[in-house]
Amino acid sequence: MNLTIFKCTLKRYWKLLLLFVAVLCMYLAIIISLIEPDDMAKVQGLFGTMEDFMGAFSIDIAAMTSPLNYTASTFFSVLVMAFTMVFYVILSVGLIARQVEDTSLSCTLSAPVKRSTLVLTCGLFLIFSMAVLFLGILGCGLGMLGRYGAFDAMAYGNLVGVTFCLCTAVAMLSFFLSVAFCGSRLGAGLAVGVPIGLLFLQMAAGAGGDRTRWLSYLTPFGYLDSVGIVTGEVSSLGLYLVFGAAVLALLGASVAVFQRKRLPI
Amino acid sequence: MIRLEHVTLRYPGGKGISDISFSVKEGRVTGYLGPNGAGKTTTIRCLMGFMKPDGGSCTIRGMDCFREGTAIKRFLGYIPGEIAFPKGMSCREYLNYQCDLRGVKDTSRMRELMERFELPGKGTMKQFSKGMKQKVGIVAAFLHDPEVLILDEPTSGLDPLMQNEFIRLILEEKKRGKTILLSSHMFEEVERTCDDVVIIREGQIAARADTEELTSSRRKGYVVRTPELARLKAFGFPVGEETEESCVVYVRGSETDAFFKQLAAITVLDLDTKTQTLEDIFLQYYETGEKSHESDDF
Repeated sequence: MNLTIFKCTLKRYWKLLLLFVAVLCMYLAIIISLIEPDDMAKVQGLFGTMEDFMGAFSIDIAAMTSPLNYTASTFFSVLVMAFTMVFYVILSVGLIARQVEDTSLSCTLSAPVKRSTLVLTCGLFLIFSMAVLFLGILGCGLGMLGRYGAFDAMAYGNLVGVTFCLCTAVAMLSFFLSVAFCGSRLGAGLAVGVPIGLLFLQMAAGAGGDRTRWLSYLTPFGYLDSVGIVTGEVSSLGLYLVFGAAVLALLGASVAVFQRKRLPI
Repeated sequence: MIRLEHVTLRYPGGKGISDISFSVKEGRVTGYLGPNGAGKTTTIRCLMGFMKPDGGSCTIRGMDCFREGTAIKRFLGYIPGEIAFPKGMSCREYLNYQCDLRGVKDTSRMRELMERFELPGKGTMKQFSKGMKQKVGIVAAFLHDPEVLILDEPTSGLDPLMQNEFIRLILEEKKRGKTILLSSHMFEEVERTCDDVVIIREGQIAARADTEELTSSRRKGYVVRTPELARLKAFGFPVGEETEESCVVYVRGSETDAFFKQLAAITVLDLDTKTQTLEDIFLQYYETGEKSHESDDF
């Protein structure tokens, strides 16, 4: 990793990162503040009026039996996937593909910097940024849920961890596509379009009931059972391993592809 | 020092470069000229390791430009044809970034060059004009005192004063024994700085020659006004600019007698002289693709 490139990238994106941390934390805080822990049925009733709509967002109203379950069901659904997606597609396109397109990458690559170091540094920056986002979500959630009394903080931490791994894996996919197709029109298009496509599959799986539920197997987002993770019904070890391996594999693939790439800079 | 041997690179659309071979010896400045789309930038991209050629080899100091590009860039300075900088940086931030990437701790040369080229340290480069950005590019290329320089249209956008300053810098570096490959459309710049010239056209080398040799082999131009232009052109001498009634005929010293004897056979309304500049020589290749001087590799 090259610290100079990392610092330069951080300087370019720190405002965007802070903005998204603030927006996500604000959104989480607002969602959690709707809770009346003594009367969760009231909360269920509030969401029950839009049951079909909630399905598209993978929100399980029946699971809202406690503040933690409610948070897992509402925020850790399509909502967190969509919000973080906006952030990481901007980043994954801007880190390499945009710099190839406007030829500014020649400034860095005309210095004695290996291509592998450059891509590794940008990839690690993406992972670091996602970690900062989810640390914000972790801190905000712990603080807000703590106001309602004791709750299973480990379970919440575990949920944040799995969601971080999932979203980072999809972010890495976006990064890989932008690197693999940089210099062509496909680069930015695939980097943005594929994650959105995967998200739409998840939304379609939820919106169509039993008829379309099978679609969730076609997208990594379908494997996040947020309520199951906090209640302990779903083992998260396998998810950590799979998503973690995906992150590493896609980062490695990005490095391998970029080393051979023709760069029109 | 810089060597290309049978380098070929084809783009998906079919254009590119084909069987390019030339070298730049240590301590020499070589001009690399050609019309737009000839393949100059493609050649430079191969030398910079941005693209791997389909065939042939590009080496600098014996090191392969693609596989060992990182090692080469420790002693290489580069000015790209299209200057573009990472967003949001000021001039000083960008130059410090370049120093950090190269491990340059002593910034005195950077400051000296900034002063020489009248560069302000403050202000984001978004507000800079093309000429200002070009000056930043020049400082960035020279700040680590590289031994080899690859410069793609380095004076593009510069005002005449800064162009002169840049030419002075090149001549100083040449005296210090630096090796420079200079791609340019500015004939005066090439004439004043280059020892050798390589001309590329439609992806292939069209000519290469010693600049001094080219200068000494210049022809004298005669502007002949005659109603018998077709007969004049049939003499077989190279013809330059042409109008309805006149054209410029280029004649070597040894051919003067033969030319005037043939001229006596047609009606001549007016006769004037014009010395052929290197620009006139180069423009022949830009327009017609004729091969003229071909000497051994430099």
